[in-house]
Amino acid sequence: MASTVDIMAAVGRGGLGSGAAASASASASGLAARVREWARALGAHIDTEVQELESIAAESRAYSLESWRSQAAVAFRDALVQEQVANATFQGELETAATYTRHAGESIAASLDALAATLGGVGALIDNALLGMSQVEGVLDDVIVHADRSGLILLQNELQSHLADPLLNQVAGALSQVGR
Amino acid sequence: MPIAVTPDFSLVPAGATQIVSVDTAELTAVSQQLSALADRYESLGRRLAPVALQVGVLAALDASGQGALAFTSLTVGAATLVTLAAAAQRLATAVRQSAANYEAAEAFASDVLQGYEAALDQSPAAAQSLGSAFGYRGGSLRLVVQRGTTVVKVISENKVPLALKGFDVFRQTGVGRASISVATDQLHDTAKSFGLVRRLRVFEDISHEIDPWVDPETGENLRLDRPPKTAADLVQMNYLVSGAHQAVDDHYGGEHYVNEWDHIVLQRHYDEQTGQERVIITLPGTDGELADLLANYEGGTASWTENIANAALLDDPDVPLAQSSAAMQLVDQMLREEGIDAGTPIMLNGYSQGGVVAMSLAKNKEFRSRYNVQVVATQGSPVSDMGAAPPGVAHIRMDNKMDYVPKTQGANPHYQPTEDYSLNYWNEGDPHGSPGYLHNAQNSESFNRESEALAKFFNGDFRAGETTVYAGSSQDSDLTEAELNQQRLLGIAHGTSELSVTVKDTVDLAEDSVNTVWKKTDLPDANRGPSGSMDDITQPVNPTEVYQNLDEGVDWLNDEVIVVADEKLNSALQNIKIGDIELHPPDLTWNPGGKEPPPVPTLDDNIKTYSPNPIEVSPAVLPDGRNPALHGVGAGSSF
Repeated sequence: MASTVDIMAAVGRGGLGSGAAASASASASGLAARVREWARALGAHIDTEVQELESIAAESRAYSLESWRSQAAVAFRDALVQEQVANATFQGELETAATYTRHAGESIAASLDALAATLGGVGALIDNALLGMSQVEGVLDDVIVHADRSGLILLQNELQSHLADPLLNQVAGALSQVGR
Repeated sequence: MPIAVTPDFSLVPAGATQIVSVDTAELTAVSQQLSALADRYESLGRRLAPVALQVGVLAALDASGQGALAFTSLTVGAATLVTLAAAAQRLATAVRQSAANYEAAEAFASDVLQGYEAALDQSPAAAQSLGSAFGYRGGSLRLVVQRGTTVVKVISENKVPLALKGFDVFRQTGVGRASISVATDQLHDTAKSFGLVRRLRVFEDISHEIDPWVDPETGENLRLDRPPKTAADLVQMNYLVSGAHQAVDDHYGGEHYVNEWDHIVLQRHYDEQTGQERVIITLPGTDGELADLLANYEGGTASWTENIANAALLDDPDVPLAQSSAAMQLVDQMLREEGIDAGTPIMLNGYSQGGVVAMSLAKNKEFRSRYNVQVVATQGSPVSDMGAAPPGVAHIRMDNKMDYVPKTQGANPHYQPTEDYSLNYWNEGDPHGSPGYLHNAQNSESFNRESEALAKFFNGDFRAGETTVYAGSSQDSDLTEAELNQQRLLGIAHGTSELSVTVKDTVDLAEDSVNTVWKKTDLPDANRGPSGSMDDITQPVNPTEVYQNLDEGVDWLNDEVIVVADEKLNSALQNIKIGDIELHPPDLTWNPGGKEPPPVPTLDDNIKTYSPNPIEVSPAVLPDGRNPALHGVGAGSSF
């Protein structure tokens, strides 16, 4: 009859710990990819508007009307210059915003990737800890002591902690909110 | 066919800055394009807003802070787009308005061009004179007016008569008439805000003191014992009545009287056979000098600024007499005092400003409801546009073609007075002066021809009867305590408590003001004297510029004189009290909100206080038993 130790070792060999973490890790990786794509799409959208601004500026520059000479014409051109300066400034701001948006997406995705990796790692450690149980002989008390010594309980707590990382739900919720 | 005004830049003097070159069709197109551009900004803003919201959601997940920066940029950017869209729309509107302005100018050019072509039919010289109709000083600019492929050169010549002719064309165009009318109304409003438009304060009968028919030059009495029959007779009456200004000023120069007084003359005529009566009111021209700005505060009824009020009232026949000019009120009061009823035929005869007053009265509905005005005679008065005589009133117009004063208002080219008498002289020193008019009228065949309008008015065996002379003094219609304080400093306030300010302060303030005024007007010393302002007219002057200069002058007056005087007052009035009233710092405003009772006139039984509507005055009998209406005691009087 298999002892408790045998059962635990078998669980470890079967990869029960990594199996439990792998799903969560894959989910995090998937969210990272979706966030990255979302941010890039937003950046591209902003870039398109920058091009629209440049197009407006080009049209505006064509209104200078060289043949119009009067004090009103001077004031008109001054106003156009102000408009073009404001347009150019805003173009720069939008370009920066597009870059920051992509960077923000990358930053969030990197956090999710790190979370995925952590989840995988912790799962593997749990597998190893369970596998190590085959070296234990004795009664149930000895098993518990060994589990404690091998850090299995801490690893399980850590796994639970990462699985409950709020970023996962926040990102999933945000993507759902924006239809992605 | 559209007409374009295109300057020929090869003709523009070097250094000229006021150049206009425009294609209004282009401006209209640009305005539409700018509107479309504004729409694009607005559309971009609408698209960017949801993107900004998504970036905001993204930023909430981002611990790096970059998302927050992007969100901030986009949020601010959305506001920027709203601003850009609004600015572009405003610019589009401004360009559209500019195009409309240019089109109005083009319409004016069209008027001028048509006038040019009409004048060209008469003589090339007359056509050339139209160049200055654009309002530029003669010789300062040349323009090319083009109709289709036909180019017509319009050349300004540096000669005053030509400039006057050009302005004469301008004031007969629709644009010119409207411009001058608006300018007059604006000047009137400005003058009112400066307290320069006045109402009648007091009046008295001075028939026993002044004989208006004595020639001021020779001392000869030229009173007619018959009714006037010709325009020359009317010109002589005007010459004599206006010439009496000095005698009236001398009469009021004594200490017994306060302020400036001006006079009007009523002469009765009787038909001994029928007992019928005819009345002629003769109104003198302006008394005083344009350069003497303070004179307008001194109380006359025929000061320079009253010209503005009377001209503005020409096109306001509904104005109540109580709100009309001091000169109009004086005529009304005199007719009431003299018992002239609504059935007695009246003729109003006026020279220069007097003619404007006469026409304003003839058009005024309240005045006409009280009196039977049948004839208005004007001499050298700008009354040919809004001042055209109302139906049923004969208008005898007497002008000198070279007189600038009748041309200071618009002219309806279709208006024809009942009788039109015209002189044409320049070499008499002042083409507006009444001596020149008299000399030339006496030697003019038409002026000595019997007037049908006068013959119709005196349709009987009329003889001249008694002459009555009234004089009146005016006051600021909105005199405040603060303005009284300033008048005290200037030494022109009367009938109120004294202000303890040193003579030096007063003299300094007055000298500074007057010197600055002279410096501003930039007149040579020789022209600063009493007769100098008339001589200025012999210099090249464009009347359009006169209006512009007046407008600028009023602004300048406020900035350089009134504000400065206000500051001086602030300094001078420190620690000065009149009774319990602390005067520092005085609140000097030229647009006062409230009125105060007029100053109390000198206690003299001959002098009466003007009341525009004595019927409403109470009590019926004064404590001493006098009839208040007969003694002119009205609301606000302090007896």
